[in-house]
Amino acid sequence: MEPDGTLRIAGPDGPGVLRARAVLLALGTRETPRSARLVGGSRPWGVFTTGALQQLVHGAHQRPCRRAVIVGSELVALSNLLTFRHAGIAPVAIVEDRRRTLVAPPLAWAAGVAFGTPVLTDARPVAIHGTHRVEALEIDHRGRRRILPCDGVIFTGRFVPDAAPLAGSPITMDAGTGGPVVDQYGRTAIPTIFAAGNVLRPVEPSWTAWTEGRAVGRAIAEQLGGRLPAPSRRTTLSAAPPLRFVCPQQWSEPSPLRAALPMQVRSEEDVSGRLRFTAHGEELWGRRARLRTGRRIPVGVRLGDIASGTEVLVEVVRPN
Amino acid sequence: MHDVAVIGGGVVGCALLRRLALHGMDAVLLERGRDILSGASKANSALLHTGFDAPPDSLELACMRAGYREYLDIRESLGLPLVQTGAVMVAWNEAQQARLPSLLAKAHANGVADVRPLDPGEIARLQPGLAPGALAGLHIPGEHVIDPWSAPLAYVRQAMAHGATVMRDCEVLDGVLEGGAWRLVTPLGDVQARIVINAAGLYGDLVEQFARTPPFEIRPRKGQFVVLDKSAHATVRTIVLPVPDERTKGIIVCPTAFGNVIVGPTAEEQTARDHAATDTATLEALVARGREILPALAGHAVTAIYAGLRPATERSEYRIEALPDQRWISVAGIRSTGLTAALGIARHVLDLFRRHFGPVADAAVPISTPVPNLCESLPRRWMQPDAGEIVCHCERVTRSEIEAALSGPLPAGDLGGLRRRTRVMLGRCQGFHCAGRVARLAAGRLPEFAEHRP
Ligand SMILES: Cc1cc2nc3c(=O)[nH]c(=O)nc-3n(C[C@H](O)[C@H](O)[C@H](O)COP(=O)(O)OP(=O)(O)OC[C@H]3O[C@@H](n4cnc5c(N)ncnc54)[C@H](O)[C@@H]3O)c2cc1C
Repeated sequence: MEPDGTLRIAGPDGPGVLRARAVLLALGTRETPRSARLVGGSRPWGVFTTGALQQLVHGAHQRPCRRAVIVGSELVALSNLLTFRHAGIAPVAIVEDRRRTLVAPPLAWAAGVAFGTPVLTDARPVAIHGTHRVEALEIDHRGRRRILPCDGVIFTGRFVPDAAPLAGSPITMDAGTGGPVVDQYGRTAIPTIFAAGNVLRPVEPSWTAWTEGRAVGRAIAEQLGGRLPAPSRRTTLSAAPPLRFVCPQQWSEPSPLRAALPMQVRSEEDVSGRLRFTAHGEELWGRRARLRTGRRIPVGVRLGDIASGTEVLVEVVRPN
Repeated sequence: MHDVAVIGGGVVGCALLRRLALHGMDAVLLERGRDILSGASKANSALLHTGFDAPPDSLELACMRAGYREYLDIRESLGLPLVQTGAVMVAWNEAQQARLPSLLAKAHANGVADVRPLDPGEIARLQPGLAPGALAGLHIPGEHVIDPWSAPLAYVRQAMAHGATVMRDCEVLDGVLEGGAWRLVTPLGDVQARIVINAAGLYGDLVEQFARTPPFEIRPRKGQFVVLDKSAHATVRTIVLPVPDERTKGIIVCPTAFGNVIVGPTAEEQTARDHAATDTATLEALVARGREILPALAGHAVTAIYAGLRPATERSEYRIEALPDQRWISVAGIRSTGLTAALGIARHVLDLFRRHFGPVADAAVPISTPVPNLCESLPRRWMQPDAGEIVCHCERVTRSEIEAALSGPLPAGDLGGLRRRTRVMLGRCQGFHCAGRVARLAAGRLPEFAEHRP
């Protein structure tokens, strides 16, 4: 993307340029592969993300491995179990480096019962072994080295917005979400460029992304129709650790329409306490909340009424 | 009966094959891997070195200088890139600074006349954004970045155009000199050749046993790297070198021809020849070191991690020798400069050949066999109006490039070979988006995609 919002594109007819009165960025998300997790060892065939495995199995009718370890315990880990069953791949174990699985425990338990898959928590992949093909995954399980013989390792989850085309553009990015900073209508730092769906943050199921796309699409129509004026004041929100992000990160005034993006907060770790929105040390909104790692907490705050043009801090205050 | 058999399809073997074929010899390349570049040559820093810091008056220096010159001469006709980055060597403390004058003198003695000292201001101009604290440095304008995989591929393809044969999946298991010619035993049958060249890299001492008790021992030395996302590329304008010490050349930060940034390599002795493992602690240290040198690298994600093995021996010099009685030439211990020196080594070996095994025909006019360009700063296939389907969006690889790499005179022998020929699946998503498409295009042609689901 050029500084003025012009899009440079590549397609079957070669490179091209697009200029539009409005653009919706719906770039989506991808999983973090083994390399970016810095998991060591050799580089044999048999190391995939869920996305790659599903394409190999469903798109290309392949069975790229026969006995595989699943790394990660987000919901997507379980979808691997279904893919495994479909392709005739035996699950060796689910390995999660946190002390608890990220899906609700009953689901992890179901994985064990329905698929006979051991779920190892506090277990970190250390190295992949094998020359041509994967031969084993070495893990650190509660401080002990263990070798899990397998011919496949699936790195699941740890979704990141697929926002690479925005690098170097004037669109402000949020280190917490990995996506562009947007207001409640999905508008980025360039008000004619909108974003919706999982490019905004990790990660929502498809129907939520779809709903966001529709709602932001409506905001685009309103803006093109002259009913959604350019922002004159923006309230900026930032999340304090252990909160990972608040999204959308801005609230614009005037706000003649309902917000297209419901506000949500996510935490890096399990934490409970009072979730507060403050400006200049003063609480604008708050409630008691239990946040689980990576899970969305919807926030029913309408900032427009209370904090126009200020900087808002979002934090969890733990009880003493 | 071939005139010459070259054992080993690393960059050195590929360059040798080309030189022999250009001189009209019937040469065969025998490679144990499923594709060329299955050994040391698949993972290096991809620098075309000037030789400014090579041992003075050494064969290594001579081969590097000759290799460097020939690469510049032939690269256009072979479609090979040259990213003219230059290098900046930075002294971060007084001890390092004190070593600069002797390095400068050595560079000049080595014939690299344009190396010159730098003050902190000039360093900052050549590489903006370096961490504060650089005391002094050297500018080595002739150090460049190349595509380490397309170059040897182009050498082999040109050799094939001149009649050479390439046999892959063809490990030489034994060799017997019978009636003045070699019979090499391979899984694909016996191969006969009048002369054998051992260019087996990490297996050099094992292959040498066919001819004699090896006078050298291969001691693999591992180098680990992290590859940073293309987003980091704009911040790195030049190759940033540390001041070497007696033990190692140290960790460099440098751009790649493919538009990434690499940080590495380490230098770690190991015994295994067939695998180079990375480890998390070292990779983390490399990421941290990169940010220490160039703070703006913080925040750029890691795209890939890899390690390579240098085919070092117990001594530092090249071990190149002709054994006239054995009808054998050893080309071993091409430790850390082989990508640069390969073409020069090939010339040197041709001289040995002439000296010990009789006259050699003059070189034919080379048939131009350009390889497809993968370098980011030059026109790529996706930029053409008839680009067609783009399969890999991270690296912008078109379907036509993948299909071309799977066919032709030397099709990719495995997925690694396809990656090296096209860059497919080597980008930031590592196949998240394109693995299925690649599998469909390559099914039945690459061993990785051989098994269909029930
Ligand atoms: C970390 C690192 C960084 C480097 N950076 C640079 C750089 O920036 N610039 C530079 O110029 N150089 C660099 N190098 C050095 C360069 O990569 C090597 O010098 C070069 O690859 C050696 O090539 P080779 O052909 O001798 O060996 P190899 O590439 O190992 O080739 C030998 C081949 O022989 C095959 N083989 C072995 N045994 C048999 C058998 N019995 N039968 C058949 N085939 C057999 C192997 O499979 C292999 O493919 C670097 C090296 C490393 C490891």
